[in-house]
Amino acid sequence: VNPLRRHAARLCLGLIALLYVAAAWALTYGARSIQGDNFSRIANAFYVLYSRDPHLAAVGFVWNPLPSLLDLPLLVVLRPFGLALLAGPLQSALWSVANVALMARILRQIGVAGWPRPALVAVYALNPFVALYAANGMTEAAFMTAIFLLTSALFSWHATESPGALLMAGLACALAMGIRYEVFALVLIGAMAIALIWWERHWGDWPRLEGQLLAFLAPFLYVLLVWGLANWMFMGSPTFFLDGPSSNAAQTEQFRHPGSELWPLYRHLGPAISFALARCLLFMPGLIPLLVLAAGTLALRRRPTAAVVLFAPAAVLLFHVYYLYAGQSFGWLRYYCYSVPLGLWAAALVVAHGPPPSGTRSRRRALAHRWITIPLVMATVALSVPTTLVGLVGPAWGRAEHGVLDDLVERATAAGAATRWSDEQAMAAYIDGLRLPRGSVALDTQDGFAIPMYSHAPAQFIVSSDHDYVGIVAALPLFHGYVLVPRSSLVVSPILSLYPGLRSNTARWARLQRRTGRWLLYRIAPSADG
Amino acid sequence: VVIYDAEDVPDPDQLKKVVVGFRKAGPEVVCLQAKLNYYNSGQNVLTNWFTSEYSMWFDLFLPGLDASGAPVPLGGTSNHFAAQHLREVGAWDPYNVTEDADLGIRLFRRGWRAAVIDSTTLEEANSQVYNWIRQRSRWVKGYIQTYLVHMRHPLQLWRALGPKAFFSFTMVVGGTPFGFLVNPIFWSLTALWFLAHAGFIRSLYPAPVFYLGMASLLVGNIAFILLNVAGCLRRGYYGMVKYALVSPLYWALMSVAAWKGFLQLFTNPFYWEKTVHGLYHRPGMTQGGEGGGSGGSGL
Repeated sequence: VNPLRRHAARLCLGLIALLYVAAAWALTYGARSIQGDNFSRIANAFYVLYSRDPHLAAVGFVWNPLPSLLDLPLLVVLRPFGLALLAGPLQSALWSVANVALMARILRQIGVAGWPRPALVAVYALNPFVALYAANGMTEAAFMTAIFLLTSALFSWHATESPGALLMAGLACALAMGIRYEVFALVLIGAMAIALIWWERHWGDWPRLEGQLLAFLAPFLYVLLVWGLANWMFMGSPTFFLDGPSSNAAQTEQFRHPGSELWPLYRHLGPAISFALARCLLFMPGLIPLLVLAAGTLALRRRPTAAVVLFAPAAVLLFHVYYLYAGQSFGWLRYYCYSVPLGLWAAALVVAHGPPPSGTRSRRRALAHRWITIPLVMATVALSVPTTLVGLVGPAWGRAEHGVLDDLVERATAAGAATRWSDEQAMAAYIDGLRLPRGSVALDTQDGFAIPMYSHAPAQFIVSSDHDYVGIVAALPLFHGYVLVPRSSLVVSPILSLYPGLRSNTARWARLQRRTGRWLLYRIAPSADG
Repeated sequence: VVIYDAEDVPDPDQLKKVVVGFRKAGPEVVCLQAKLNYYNSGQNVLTNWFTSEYSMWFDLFLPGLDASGAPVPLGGTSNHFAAQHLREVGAWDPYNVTEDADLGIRLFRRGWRAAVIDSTTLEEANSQVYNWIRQRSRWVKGYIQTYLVHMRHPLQLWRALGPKAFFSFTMVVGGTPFGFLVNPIFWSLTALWFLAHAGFIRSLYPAPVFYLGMASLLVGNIAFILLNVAGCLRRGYYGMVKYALVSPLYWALMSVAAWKGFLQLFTNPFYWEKTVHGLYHRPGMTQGGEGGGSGGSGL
């Protein structure tokens, strides 16, 4: 590799890292736009370290644990500087930088040379979705890293069948298991890719297939086993993360009933495919022609198994179609972002594989490939940048993302304007003002996770992960202290389920102390006839 | 000078490769170690485990040490020496029960190196549990001896090896038997915590140590299992992968042997636990006997 080119590549990566980290800071502390899932994951790490009852299991069993576990050292470093909320965004920025480097590596593995390679990397790195999710602390960037690692490893396995590539593919799935449950699609497709390559080259050598599949599956199964064991130990069921009250399946229950927004897709494959495809095309308008061209190219070159490079993102997209069909998806736009790498790698296959060198018209074909096919393909993928932007700012598409634009505009026009978390911040400040001793305020952190994080004395809260939480809540009318509950009837609160009178202020053992837009703070008075 | 055990089956071109290896290597390379493996790997579960361990050790670990410029503890057989340097270094220590590993370190202290060549010698894997424990107990005892002998003057050793090689020596020669010895203690504590939720265990550890221990437990175990799997894959022993995946059971045997060796260090430090060979008969091979074979150590 030309050293000058290597230095230039490192410089570009450094600039991209700077851009992502700056965007993370600007979004979190400039626009004060903090995405809820990101906040919740940081809060889980926060409880492990700074709650009244710090212990590792406080990391929680709703989300896959790796992002919160990685937030632990970041919190230790950032919190003394008042930057605790940067832990998640900084993490996603670093994952995203890794993704840019991995994208360049995969394109090199595919065989893309010359100007199309940096151009394709730039189309990825500067995609508005990629940039936004590098800055907002969500797990898409980390999961994308797992997809990229798996893709790179599978492609390397396809080329060399080296043990290192096989184990790396397995480790990529283990990493994905720590991040998101779409991992099941990756594991399935990875195993299929290995079986396909074996079928093409080693058909009949059954011990080889057994050994390769076991080696690939082992890291994932190990993480699954450890996670299941932890769920069983702390939550009483090894599958709590899949079927517990806070699981994806439980939270999407509303979509499996008539009248809900996604009801027309439930058990209807056509509408589910159409819904997903529309979003995929928003991210990558030329996806279908690019896939057709890539398939044609590989067929002509008689390299069908090179298509393994497309397997991982395609599998995750199919997984989301299935989830729509099964009524277990929220239908967020971000679930379909994997069409970006899918389209880019399909384009890379076309760009890298020109016409076969043999034949009388090969020179003319090569020229056509260079001057017509490559520019057309590159223009097609470049279209993804503006269309993604349209998707993000349009509330009809980016239901979760367009709020960021609102935040940016609001902060730019009125710096002191309320944020999504102003209410939690105000309640935390009020409770801090009461100067309560440790363990004074019971709070269900499923929705109230932000309040202890905004408090200067987080140990005054009894949070869901505390060992004595269940006992205290079960005997709440006898508790000497306070309880915080959400006002909204849409919020499922375990405390309110037990004590519905708290929402309507009819519980005789509790006196309303403070009301904000979203929260009710009660002082519990056991002396009353509770 | 080359050492072979009686039952060894070296690659037919090994000596030629060694000659070429010595010619190509720099003057600091005074020993070439061939990779060791087993011809009876499929005999039973123990030989499968033993082979997966050797595949990891000789095909991945020792070449890795070699490539990183760290001292290579030699295996007991198929090590090829430049005779003059062997004499200069004083050859083998007759009191050390893993004299081969010790020799590798002493060569390194003199500024020489042992390198690994890509040629294999097949041996007979120990196929009986007690026989295996005796052999392994000697290896562990020998590694501890080697560590203690070289650490008599830690500063001298630091100066002779340099910080990187000193760290590697400590982790490989000292850390390997230490790991075997402490494993059952930590396994017991972990099991006790899981089964009885014994709170005192948690109180024994400050939070950072507890979390680091947890990370080590979760990452360390799978890392070592996968290293064994990688060794099998590299050798093309695909059918052995399933055994490598349950190698923690094999580690339990290692711990039994390690404690036997460790305690014997106090009661009978220079005793050589003989390994019975000839338990497996390859077609066309005459029967071996006790002590007739491997004195080597390949922890």
